[in-house]
Amino acid sequence: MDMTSMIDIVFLLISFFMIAVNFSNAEQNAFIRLPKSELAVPPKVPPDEALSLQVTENGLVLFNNQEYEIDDLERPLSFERRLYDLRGIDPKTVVVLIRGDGRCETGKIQRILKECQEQNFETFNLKAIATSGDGRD
Amino acid sequence: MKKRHIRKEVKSVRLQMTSMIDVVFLLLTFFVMTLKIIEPEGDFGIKMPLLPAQASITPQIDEKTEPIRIRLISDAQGNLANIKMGDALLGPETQSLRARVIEIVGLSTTNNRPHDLEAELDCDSQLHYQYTIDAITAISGYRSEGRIIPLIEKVRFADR
Repeated sequence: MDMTSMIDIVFLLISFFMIAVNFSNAEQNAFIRLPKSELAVPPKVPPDEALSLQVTENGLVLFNNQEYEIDDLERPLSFERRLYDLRGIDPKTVVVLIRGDGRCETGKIQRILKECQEQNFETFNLKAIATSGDGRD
Repeated sequence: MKKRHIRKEVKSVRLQMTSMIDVVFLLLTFFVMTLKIIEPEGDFGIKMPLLPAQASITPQIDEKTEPIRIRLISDAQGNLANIKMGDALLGPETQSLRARVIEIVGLSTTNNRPHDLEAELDCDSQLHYQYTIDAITAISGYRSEGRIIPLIEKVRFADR
């Protein structure tokens, strides 16, 4: 049985999947459909210190693998701030990544920003999916 | 005679490939299983320090630091109904907002540097987040021949 070509293809597949796989454990909830934007460029350098807040369509916030109502965000956020204080990191330098669903209400996003501001987090990154076309596809 | 000899030799070198193929398939299934397709995500930076309470008492609004106020008006369903910039209504298209921003900024952007003007977004509460991002996109720049031309990089939300 001549298996040379089969092995060729199998190795090709392996190398493809090896390159395509990424083990980054960035928190990304698949149910959140990010807004689209033509100017959203992936950051060249990932931020040193970042908190990731994910906002679902109906305004639930996923943070550290737990669900919170917006009004309940104060406790986990102040806890994070205390941790940063202990490590001697200024919360102002911490980037808050906001992965908000495109169908969520802007007012809710603003309330989340406000909760973060009250804990001295003031640098925000609003995440969006990059499109090459004109904003919507 | 010689030819026959060679053929005999080739036949004698038979690799035992079963175990190698086993391992290779194992690797293949591992990588197939762990593959997680992630769409490239970009982001917009927004810096919003909490304004100290005294700031409202002594408003030191400089002509230069006065932000461009943009109001996004939503309808009851959360769709964008109108954009208001200053006192002018621009309609629900973010393209016209971009055109206005280019009008204000365009002449003074040299060397592809973002303008140090500031834009302040005042959005209706029920407006869908997608429209807010659309507006931020329109304000912060545009694509021309594959390159991104920045307009206003400092965007913040209005305090409500």
